[in-house]
Amino acid sequence: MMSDCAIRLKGINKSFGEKEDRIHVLHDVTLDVNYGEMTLFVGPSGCGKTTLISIIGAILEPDSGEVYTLGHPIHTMTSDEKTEFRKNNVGFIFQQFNLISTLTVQENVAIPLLINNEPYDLAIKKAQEILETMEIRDKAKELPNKLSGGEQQRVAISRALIKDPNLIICDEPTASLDGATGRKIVELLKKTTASTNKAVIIVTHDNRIFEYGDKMVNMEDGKINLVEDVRH
Amino acid sequence: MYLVALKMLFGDKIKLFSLIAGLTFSVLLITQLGSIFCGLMSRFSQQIISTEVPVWVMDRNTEMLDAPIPLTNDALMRVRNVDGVEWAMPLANSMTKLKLKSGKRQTVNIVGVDASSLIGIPPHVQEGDIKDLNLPDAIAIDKNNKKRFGNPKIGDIFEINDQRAKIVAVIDMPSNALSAPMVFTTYDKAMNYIPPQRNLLSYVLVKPASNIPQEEVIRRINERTGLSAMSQGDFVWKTIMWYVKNTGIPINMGMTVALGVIFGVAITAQTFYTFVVENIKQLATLKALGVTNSILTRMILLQSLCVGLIGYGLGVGWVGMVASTIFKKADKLAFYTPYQLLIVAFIIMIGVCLVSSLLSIVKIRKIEPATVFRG
Repeated sequence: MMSDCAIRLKGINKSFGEKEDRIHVLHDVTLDVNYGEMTLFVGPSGCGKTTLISIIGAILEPDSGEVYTLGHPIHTMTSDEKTEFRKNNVGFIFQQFNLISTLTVQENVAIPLLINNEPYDLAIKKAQEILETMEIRDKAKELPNKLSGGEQQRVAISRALIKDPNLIICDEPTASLDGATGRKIVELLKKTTASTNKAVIIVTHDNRIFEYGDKMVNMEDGKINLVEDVRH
Repeated sequence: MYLVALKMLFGDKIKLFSLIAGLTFSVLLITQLGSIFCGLMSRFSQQIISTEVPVWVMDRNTEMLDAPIPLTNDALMRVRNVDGVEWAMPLANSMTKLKLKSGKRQTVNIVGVDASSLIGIPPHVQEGDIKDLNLPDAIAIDKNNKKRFGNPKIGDIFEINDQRAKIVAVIDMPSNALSAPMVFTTYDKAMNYIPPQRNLLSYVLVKPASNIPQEEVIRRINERTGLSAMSQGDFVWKTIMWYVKNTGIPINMGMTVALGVIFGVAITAQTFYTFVVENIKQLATLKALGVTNSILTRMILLQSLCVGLIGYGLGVGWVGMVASTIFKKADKLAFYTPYQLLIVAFIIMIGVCLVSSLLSIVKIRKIEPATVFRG
């Protein structure tokens, strides 16, 4: 276990496709992300940001290289071990929210607890508590499609936070939101990194939220060009 | 997570309806056609069932009820002489023509039985008195074919083989599958009604002594008489199997049942697969959040079995409540739903659900959780 390093990447390579259609998406990526940091991954579309966070989040295999997420050697894990790792350690927030349309808001939020076999009533109670802190408790029994984009993203964040994971990975969390709502969402995430054993990674094109980052990783053509400390 | 699986299933009303409709129709086809098949088969052997005689003795080459090979007259005595036979009665079964009051001719199946005991005639009488069969020229007819006799009343007179025949009773018995109506009379009168032939005896009906097992009596008759004895149930089964082997009925019915199964599999598999494909992002999200392939597989199986059970309930319920009422009222169509048929339909339905889920399960296991990040 590396004491201050939440994520350590060493020489990560990843490509997709076969033979002449093969596209190298990541080239020899090496990076350290510390606990207590909100790290923003920026760069043009197709530069490999999403692929990189997928590898960090243990949902995609690198072709080569070493990945240590929260001290766990992801590159050596089996598929089942990775699933177990994600279940216990990672919260995901997606651009399209990815809420389950046939479940109520509170049930969507409770999913990570239900996956862990927590009793339904207890999981719903905890979901209602976190929805309270997100100020959408009154929407708990609604279906997601009845909510605005900002409200849906707050539900997705509630789902990501309900198990208090040490790593939160966000893919364009503010892309579908207006400026004020986007800032509110990022402020919520920022609070999470106040804890010293947590880290937040955000892939974004939204320069309105750059001011909230602690570190900014600039990527281009599958490589990291620049890692800046942008703490204000 | 199983509750989540059910909520995902019940939340999509249109697909739920399609799945249930497909399975209901499939179960309906299987159970309804199965019931018609069983009804038809039971009618082929209805005479054996209705007589309520425990053991039937026949020529070794007799293959089924309606095609008996006549026995020689001494066969009855040979059977009576076997130890363990409490009583043995003759039964003649033969086709002849009956002249209706209108002058038309009707082919009938004459059944001649022992005059004193009347064993061999179904015991339920709808009209008249069965004991009157011992009166001169007396016959009884079966209630299902009264119309074909011109709706006669007790006391009406017909001609059979130029002999006078007077109706003294109407027998209440389930329909048999033969086109010819049944006419019951005593053995001696049957000899006059049936066109002359060397031997008239078709079967010997036997009741074993109460202190000897039936199987033992059957074995003794087989050994000592050179005839073939079998229990009522075995003879029913033998007759049914003859029709199964020698007619196209099972194939025709089987093809329609197979169509029901294929229809059920096709509809259910296709709808399930669409359900999975349309929810691929949600399922990938569950995977990303830590749901294993094994749990997702069980979730799909649960959904599948759930709609299967609903479809089964509706299909069987339809057959039980609506179809059987209609068919029984009609009284012309054979319809019988033994519990074994319901078990078979249930097993087929489970099979349909499992096969239908397979495609979806394969798809789900291949879902990359990284799909969640794709736009």
